[in-house]
Amino acid sequence: MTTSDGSSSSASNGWCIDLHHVSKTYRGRVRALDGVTMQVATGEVFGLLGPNGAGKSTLVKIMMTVIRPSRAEGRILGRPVGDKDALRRVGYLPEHHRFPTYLTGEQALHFYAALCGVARRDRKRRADELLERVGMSDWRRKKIGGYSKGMMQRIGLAQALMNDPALVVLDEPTDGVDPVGRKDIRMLLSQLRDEGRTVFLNSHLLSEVEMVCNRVAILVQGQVAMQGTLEELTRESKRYEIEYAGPEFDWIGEYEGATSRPAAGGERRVIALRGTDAAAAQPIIDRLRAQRAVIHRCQACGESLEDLFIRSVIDPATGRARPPGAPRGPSAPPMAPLIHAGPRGGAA
Amino acid sequence: MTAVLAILLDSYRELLAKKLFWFVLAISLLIVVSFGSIGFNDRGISIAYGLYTIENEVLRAGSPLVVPFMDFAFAGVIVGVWLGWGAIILALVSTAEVFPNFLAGGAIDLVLSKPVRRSTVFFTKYFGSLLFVLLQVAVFCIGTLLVMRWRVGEWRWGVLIAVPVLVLVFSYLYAFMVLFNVLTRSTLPSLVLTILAWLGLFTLATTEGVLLSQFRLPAEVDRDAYQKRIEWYQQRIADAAAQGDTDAVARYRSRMESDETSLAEARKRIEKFVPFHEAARLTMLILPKTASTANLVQRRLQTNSGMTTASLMATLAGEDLPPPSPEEVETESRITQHQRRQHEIMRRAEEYENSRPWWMIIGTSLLFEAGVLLVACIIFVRRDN
Repeated sequence: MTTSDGSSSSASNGWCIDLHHVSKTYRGRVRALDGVTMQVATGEVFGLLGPNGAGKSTLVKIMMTVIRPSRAEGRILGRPVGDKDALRRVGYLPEHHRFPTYLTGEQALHFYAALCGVARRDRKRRADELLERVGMSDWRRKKIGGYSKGMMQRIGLAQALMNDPALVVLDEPTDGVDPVGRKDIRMLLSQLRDEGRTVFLNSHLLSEVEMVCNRVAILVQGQVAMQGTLEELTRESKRYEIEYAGPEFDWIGEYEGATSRPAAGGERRVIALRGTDAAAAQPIIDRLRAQRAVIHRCQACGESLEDLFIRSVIDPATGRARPPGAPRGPSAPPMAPLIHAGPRGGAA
Repeated sequence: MTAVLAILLDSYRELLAKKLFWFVLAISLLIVVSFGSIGFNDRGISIAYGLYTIENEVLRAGSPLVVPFMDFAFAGVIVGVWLGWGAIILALVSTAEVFPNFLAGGAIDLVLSKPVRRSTVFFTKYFGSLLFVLLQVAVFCIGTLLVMRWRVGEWRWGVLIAVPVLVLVFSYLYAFMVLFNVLTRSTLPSLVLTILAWLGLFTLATTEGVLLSQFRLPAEVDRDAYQKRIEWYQQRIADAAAQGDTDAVARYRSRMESDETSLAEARKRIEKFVPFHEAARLTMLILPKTASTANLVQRRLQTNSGMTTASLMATLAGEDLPPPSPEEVETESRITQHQRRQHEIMRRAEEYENSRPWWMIIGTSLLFEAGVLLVACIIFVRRDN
């Protein structure tokens, strides 16, 4: 996909979004972001996760020029961060958006598209298409003041697509939407990806992010704790587990990557093998059966996105969730990235 | 350009969605209809569409005073009271929430995330809000124009000058409102602070006006009158001395000495009040001049009709007499002398006001407004939202 000025949307070394050292300290010395470096590849659905106060919305707003960064390097759609021209091909749906209630849904679409410089004829065509696409055609001439939260969210999505964007930034797009609507939005996100658009999704709903995102980043205390594909992020935790009733066998050490531990709260024990290859577990199962151990469970296991999220958020030193905001102090040391992987499997 | 037009169209829609807009428009139309009820017949002024007649010797159908009277009724009363105060207060109330709503989280994000410069957004939104007064006053003035055509038989195009003039007056105040809006992001504090600023400007302008019309000009009128009389007495003394009329010489000298004392007092008063008036005048010079700007409508209409308010009032009161000669002063009653003095003060006050060039009044006011808007714009542009 190319931008309206002809430059490639992935001009910055193949990245649609290529951010470096993004920092933001609000007045009152509240540090929201502390040296965020993040890359989003062209054509992928990228999920930004993080606990409340992690700086997600600040990061999104910096990208959208709503907030001025204390420091930011990098490019969006090949243009420097903060460049207004880049926004011609960016669609944005903010969290807690407020559309003018005196406008109809159709008028709102025209208004925001006109702000993007979309010509009147194109606005008409796009509005017709998008209202149909988000299921709001029947409500196009009704005032937004009479819309439900879900309807406003649909109009918001349509608004974000009016300028035919190469990059769509969505901040909590399923907020207030019922399960059917959420499914529709997920389908829409997939369609956008299929159309070659890049989607940057900021969401609290881990399950949804897990379903639609190619890559995710977890932001904690204003720093990127993890970044990569789900496969990359969970690779280390993937294992094959065999739970059995019986004693601890010393031959377990003969198998590469195999460990043994007591099962939670009981007599049983669990043998864990690195990876999820069931074939590798067969010899161990055979030996266990030969020694009359009773096998209760054989299962491929691994961390879910929720596990990753919790692991990122919990401070290992205290066992409690890290407080919101970046650590205070003039030069807080960057958080050691748990995993930081590139978009296509290679470490960045 | 597309974005600018979109913001202006959005402002227009926002205004039309306000009930207060239609309420103000309804009052304006009611006033136009009431204004249209004033007419003239052979006996005098007819009101309530001919239901009643106020008999008047001077003001009746065919009188040359009809046009200046209607001009004064429009510029002095309607513009001075309704459009200059009532409609502007309601416009301020109505537009007070435009910027706070615009700046609210979730709303401003949508706008700032578009490829439009913040300063463009700011100024377009500002000018868009002026549409409220522009539309209201335009409708009102077109209605008035039609009424004037019907009642005085000629197109008084000058009334249309009220449209840009009152938009200007509103813009001075709305600049304050926008500054307070971006500082507080709240409707009510901004409205209260703006009205206080307006009252501050009004107080300063009134102070200047009072210092001029109640202290400086009376002293100057007295000084000129005494000077003239002293000259006249000097002439009479010389004549009487030439004729050897010692009694007359003594009488005139006695009166002249009394006038010389009064002249010295008048000069002292001038010396005392001129610095105060000058200080007030110079202060007002840099501030927005809401009253003087609104008064430009009256000035324009007076230029067209060739009659000042002072002379119109004097004529209507049957006191439009040429300045008295000292002989007449000698024989005039105190009441007549007082009336003459008051008319002269009023004439000079009007002359003083009219001597200020329109471009100076508007230019200095706009300069101040631009400064206020610049500060507000810088805050808006630099602020995180």
